[in-house]
Amino acid sequence: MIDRALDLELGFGFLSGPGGFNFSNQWLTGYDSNDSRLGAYGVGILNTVRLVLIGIVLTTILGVFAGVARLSDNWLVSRLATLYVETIRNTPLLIQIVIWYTVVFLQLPKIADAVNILDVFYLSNRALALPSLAANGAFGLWAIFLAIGAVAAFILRKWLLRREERDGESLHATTWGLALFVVLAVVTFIATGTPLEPNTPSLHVTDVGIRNITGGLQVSPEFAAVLIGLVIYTGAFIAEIVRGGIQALPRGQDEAATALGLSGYQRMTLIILPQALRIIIPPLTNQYLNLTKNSSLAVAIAYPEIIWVGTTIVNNIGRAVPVFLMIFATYLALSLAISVVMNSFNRRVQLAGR
Amino acid sequence: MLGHLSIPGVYMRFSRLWLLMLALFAISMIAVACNGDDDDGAVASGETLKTVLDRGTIKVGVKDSQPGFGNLEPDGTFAGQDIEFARALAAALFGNKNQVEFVVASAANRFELLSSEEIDVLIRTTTWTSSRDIDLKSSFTATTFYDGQGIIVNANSPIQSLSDLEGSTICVTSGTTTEVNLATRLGAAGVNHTALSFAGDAEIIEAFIAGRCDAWTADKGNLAGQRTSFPADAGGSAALRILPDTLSKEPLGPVVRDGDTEWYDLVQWVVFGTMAADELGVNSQNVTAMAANPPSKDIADLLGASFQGAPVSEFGASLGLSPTFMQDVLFQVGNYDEIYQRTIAQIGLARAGSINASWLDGGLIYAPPIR
Amino acid sequence: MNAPNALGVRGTRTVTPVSYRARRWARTQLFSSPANTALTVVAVTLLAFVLYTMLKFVFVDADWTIININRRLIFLGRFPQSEEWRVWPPMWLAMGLGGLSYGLLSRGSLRDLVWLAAAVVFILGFLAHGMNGLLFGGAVMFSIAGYGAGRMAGNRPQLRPRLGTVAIVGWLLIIPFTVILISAFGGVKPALWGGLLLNVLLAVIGIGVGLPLGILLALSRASSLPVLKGVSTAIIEVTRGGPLIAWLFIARFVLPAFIPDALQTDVIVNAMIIVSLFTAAYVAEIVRGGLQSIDKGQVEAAHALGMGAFHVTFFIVLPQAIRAVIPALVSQMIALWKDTTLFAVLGFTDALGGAQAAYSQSEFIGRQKEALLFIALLFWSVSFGMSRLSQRVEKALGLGER
Repeated sequence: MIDRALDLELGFGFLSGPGGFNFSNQWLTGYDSNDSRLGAYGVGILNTVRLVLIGIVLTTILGVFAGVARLSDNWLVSRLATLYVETIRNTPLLIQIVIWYTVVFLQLPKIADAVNILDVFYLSNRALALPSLAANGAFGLWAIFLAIGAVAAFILRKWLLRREERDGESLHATTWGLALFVVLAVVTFIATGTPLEPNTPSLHVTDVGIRNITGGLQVSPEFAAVLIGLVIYTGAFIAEIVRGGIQALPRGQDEAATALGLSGYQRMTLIILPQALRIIIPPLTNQYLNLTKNSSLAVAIAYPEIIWVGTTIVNNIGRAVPVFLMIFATYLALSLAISVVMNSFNRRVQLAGR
Repeated sequence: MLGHLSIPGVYMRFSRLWLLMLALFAISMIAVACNGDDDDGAVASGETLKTVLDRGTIKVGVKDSQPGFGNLEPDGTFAGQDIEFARALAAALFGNKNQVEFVVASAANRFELLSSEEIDVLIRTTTWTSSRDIDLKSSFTATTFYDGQGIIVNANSPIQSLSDLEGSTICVTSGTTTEVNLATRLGAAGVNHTALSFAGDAEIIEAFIAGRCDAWTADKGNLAGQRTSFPADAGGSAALRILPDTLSKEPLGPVVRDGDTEWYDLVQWVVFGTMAADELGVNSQNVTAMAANPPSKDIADLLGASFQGAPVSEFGASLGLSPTFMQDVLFQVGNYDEIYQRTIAQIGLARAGSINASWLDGGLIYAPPIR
Repeated sequence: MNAPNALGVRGTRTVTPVSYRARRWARTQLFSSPANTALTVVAVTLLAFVLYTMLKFVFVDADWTIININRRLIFLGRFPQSEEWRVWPPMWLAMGLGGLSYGLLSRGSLRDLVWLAAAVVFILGFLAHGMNGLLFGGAVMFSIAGYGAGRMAGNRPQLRPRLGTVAIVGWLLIIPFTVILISAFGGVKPALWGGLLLNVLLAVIGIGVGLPLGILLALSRASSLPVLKGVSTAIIEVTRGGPLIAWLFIARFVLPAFIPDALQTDVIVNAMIIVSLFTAAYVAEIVRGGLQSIDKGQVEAAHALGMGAFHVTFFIVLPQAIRAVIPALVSQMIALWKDTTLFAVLGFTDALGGAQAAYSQSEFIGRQKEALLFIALLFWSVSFGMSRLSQRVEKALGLGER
């Protein structure tokens, strides 16, 4: 009997078996081929989540800038933004990611010729290494103080805001709140005995002569290619959403703000964008969901996100049905999380305006 | 202008258009489906041969990016040793080596293609291992090439042996035994390394040339091919060095689904037939003459010819094939050595003196007796 | 600081109007304030860098032999050479219709001519040498003829609506025509469709099946029958829950095991089914938005006129709903067109797969830049053309003006 049962075999017992393969691009994990398949999938989830979170932040910034630039009074700037939008959103993302990887990031200097700035920044096609901070044993205590500080700062700001409302004059509530937090953070940082230590990357050469970069914050070319590809692609769509949101506002808003003597920057950040947000947020949420789903294209280059890990497991031992169930559950959870956050944000924005 | 669409009467006219459109669409979908259907019908266990014969073509899962074994040429045709054996099967089945349909199988999906019956046989540099044989419910037929996993590095690299790989980044194809071997062998030796897994050879070559990894591990047959065809801009074959270490045994050969012994025998004996012909000195040039006047009983049995008036052997008939099927195979495709010289020898792997020489010359290529 | 005028007299007030306008334009648009000037400088630098890099690569560093040699692989994949004639008539028809639509919708400008010239130069210069020259040339001729007819009709009000109908009917019929011509009557089976042709057919079939199916799903979701509503909502939401690549892997790995043996087809047919369902789910959500935008009064008025539920839905509500969402539907079509490249990840030789096969040939290793840029350009030009055409259609339909 020809057996297809292997792929259809339900049950998740296989997840406890050893994965048998090693990973590149690990972040905060030390997965090893003897660890379980569930662990491997966990690394995949971490990789997807990190891609999506950083991607959403960066693409929002890029998209807002490009959207505002499309409406710029400066002819050249608006044309450049149009060129960006029309080129990027009409080209398949998969091709863009492959181009970013093979044509751009793989062509960075080889490790032997790594660009070394002051022994703390290294740039090569192995990794972009930056100095970062590493936590030590005292970090937990300091984190508790930080939380207390944050609460105190929040209460102070609230109290000042109430007084502002009563007296009708600005007391710089946010500034004072931030100041309190920073002071508390610095004092307890010293008091707990520097819980964070600088972690600078260094070039390490093995006895044989193999070079690699250890320590610091390392950004691999695979991660960079997928991230940049996603950010630039999604940014082009967000730019159009932002442009549409701004154009939907009555012209009077901008004219009134000009008449009040607000500068271009003030008009944009205080008057236009806050109002445009109401129109922008629902389609923006959609773009965040698209970015999440598009992160699966990382499978085309060697970035081990959940589909990569899933298909590797399927290839080794079959069990396609449970593996794909897990993959779908993961995307569903991510999408739900994004929707919940964006919906609550949306409600606040809508209420604030009425 | 298109604005006239908003008159209700036009909708009525358009509804007729929609109907016509739908009807045509239905016809075209049926055309596509039927076209897909002629070659697929039901396949129950033990009936692969019948399905293949009814269909008139054999579907073979192959590789499209490994020179010498299976690669896609600029004109859209395939070439390589795996491809030749697929053609040999077609010649045996239909008397025409071209009645074969190639399906590109990736390292990651090949067994799914086989188990879901999208292909009849998988000939894609696939290693025979116990877990694949048992867990993946597939059966490995005769080995067509004895390979072993090796490691290739830049010629000027300091890496001389496995232990030198400490701290290195190694490129590998994801979803292969190579990937698992690498983790196991280096893990056992306590060599810390980073494995960078790519979907295919083309991606690895790009990454390797760019210096993304210090070493590249794959079957040595593959590495030799890649070394031979290494671009001149990047230094040509002299720029690369294959380490002497062999990490594993990688016997490669055609794979079929478990359970269909009739089909298994057929695939296996067509391959053995080409090896036997090599041992007996029958090739595409002399096969016609030898079939007309067989010089020995062994040759007569192989070719389905009568030797000195004796009855024709059961070899072909017992496989469900024409008695003279090996004549078609040898005439149209050739014997093992001819196939080897046409394909693998071209990537710089000489057969003489290697483990893929005939057992008569001290190699491992050995056909069981046909009788 | 006045520029010399036409007579070469410096410093007089008789500045030619053109240069005056140009300078005023530059002053207001580019150098109105220090910040604006800084922006202009940054933009010029960026533009110069991008242009320099691109032009240097395209005309100096690149070796386009890889494209030339592998033309067949990129455009047709493993499509049999003997059946190639089946591809040309649909292509001519599509080019002719494209030209006609563009001509009908354009107001006639210099930009049209530039695009046309670019298209001719691109197609003739790059692809048309070799034996396919005549056939490619024919396609360009059809396109120009179509454009000419469309432009001419612009001056004759009685001809224009008729040609408009021809264009719409043509676009609707070209899908089944192409599929039938390629696959029926001893044609080529889907497993052998390849190259850009595969991308085109996947997109065309995906939208051809997905659009009607999506409309049905949207109507079911809006229906008052709880079962119908529940099932269609579930289908839509589950489909939209995962990325297309995951669905395609399912088409390849999981689906064959669930289909009865008698109905087993090529994996590519499975993938087409999946792509159509995927498109249908997205179309359904778009159409649902359109349905919600229809005023309830329309339905009540139609009922008052004595129309039945079927007539109200299909002749009153749906046409208006679809008309309102045409831009979103075109975006979905463009998205589908771009998504067809995902088939390369599954191992199909589509245009991207063909390019990858091309740069793994030993003589072209390291030439991935050329191959990838060429493919990117192919996809970009189709997407860009579609989005431009849709903008024209939006204008012609007066969308966004209500």
